[in-house]
Amino acid sequence: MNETSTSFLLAPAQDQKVAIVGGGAGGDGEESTSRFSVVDLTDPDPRYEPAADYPSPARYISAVTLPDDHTLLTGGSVGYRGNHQSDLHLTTSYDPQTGTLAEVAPTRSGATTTRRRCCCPTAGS
Amino acid sequence: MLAADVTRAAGILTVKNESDASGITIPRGTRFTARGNAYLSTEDVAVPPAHAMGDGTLMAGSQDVCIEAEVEGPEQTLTGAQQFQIEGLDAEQSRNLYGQGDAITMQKQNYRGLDASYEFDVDSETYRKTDPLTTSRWYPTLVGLPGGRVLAVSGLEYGKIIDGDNEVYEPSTRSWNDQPELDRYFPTYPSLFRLADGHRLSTAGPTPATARTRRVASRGSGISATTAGPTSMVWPTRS
Repeated sequence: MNETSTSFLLAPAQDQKVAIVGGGAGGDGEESTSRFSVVDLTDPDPRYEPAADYPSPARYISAVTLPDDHTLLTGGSVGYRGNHQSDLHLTTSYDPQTGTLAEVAPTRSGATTTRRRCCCPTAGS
Repeated sequence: MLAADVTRAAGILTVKNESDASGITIPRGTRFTARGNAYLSTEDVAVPPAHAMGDGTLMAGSQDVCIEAEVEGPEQTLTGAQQFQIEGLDAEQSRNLYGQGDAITMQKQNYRGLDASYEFDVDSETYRKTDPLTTSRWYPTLVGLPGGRVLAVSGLEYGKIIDGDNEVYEPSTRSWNDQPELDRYFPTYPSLFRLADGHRLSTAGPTPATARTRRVASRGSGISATTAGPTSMVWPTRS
């Protein structure tokens, strides 16, 4: 279920943790997962461990790490490429220190397969 | 490219080489002709020599290249399989080299990677064109390396996964260089991360049911692969 999943380095980078969220079966299947797992790469035998449950099964989630070390997760869709009007407006914020995922304001528009979003250079300044 | 934007008929041609003496690189812009129409190749194509099969017969070398009609318009479309002549060859080459094409159409051109490459200048917020990628890639994955270099892996070329052919961007020359020593297959859309020890991690894409993690060393120029268990793979440095 790794196809169309999203993975990102958690902040701060020196903690050496990588998260993987969402994803689905290979090809254009409708199946997707809400798994949210984290691997600690400082561990001599690193393994992905469940970290939180994403509120919905999802593919193509966009992840942006913010200046406060939280990662904002937004968009994507339940089905393959947003099929059957399954775009997600759901937006969450993951706190890597507490390991909690909190729902925040939803997006106005769905944005399936917009996989890259950037943190503006001016954010937080 | 979407169908509405397609002005020239295009398709994929398989260039065949019946000679076992030598391979050949046919440059971008070479004319391929069939049924009185002319098509130009959109990039260089390196066709390997023919090779002997187990039963002693020769199997022609073959390589795909994209061709585009020399002139615009739907009159240049072709249906069904056909053989193409290649212009600019000497007599002997002409005997051994030819193209085999399927339909040449005005349809949406899917999975055709670009070799375009730009640097983004954050001060002026403008793009600056660099030398092209050595391989056209549809959805490659890029990861920053020490010294401002960038590793490009994966992607599709004419709908086929690029089989382990990776390359590195050198900022001082603004050019991409093929890295045969970094040859390694990645599925489509792998995620690559640089780790604190100079390694990178990849969380792979469409390999159902296997959470595959790879560490990739970046200190030396070379990489060799060893497997470190069913769900991870380590690329130690060859320094």
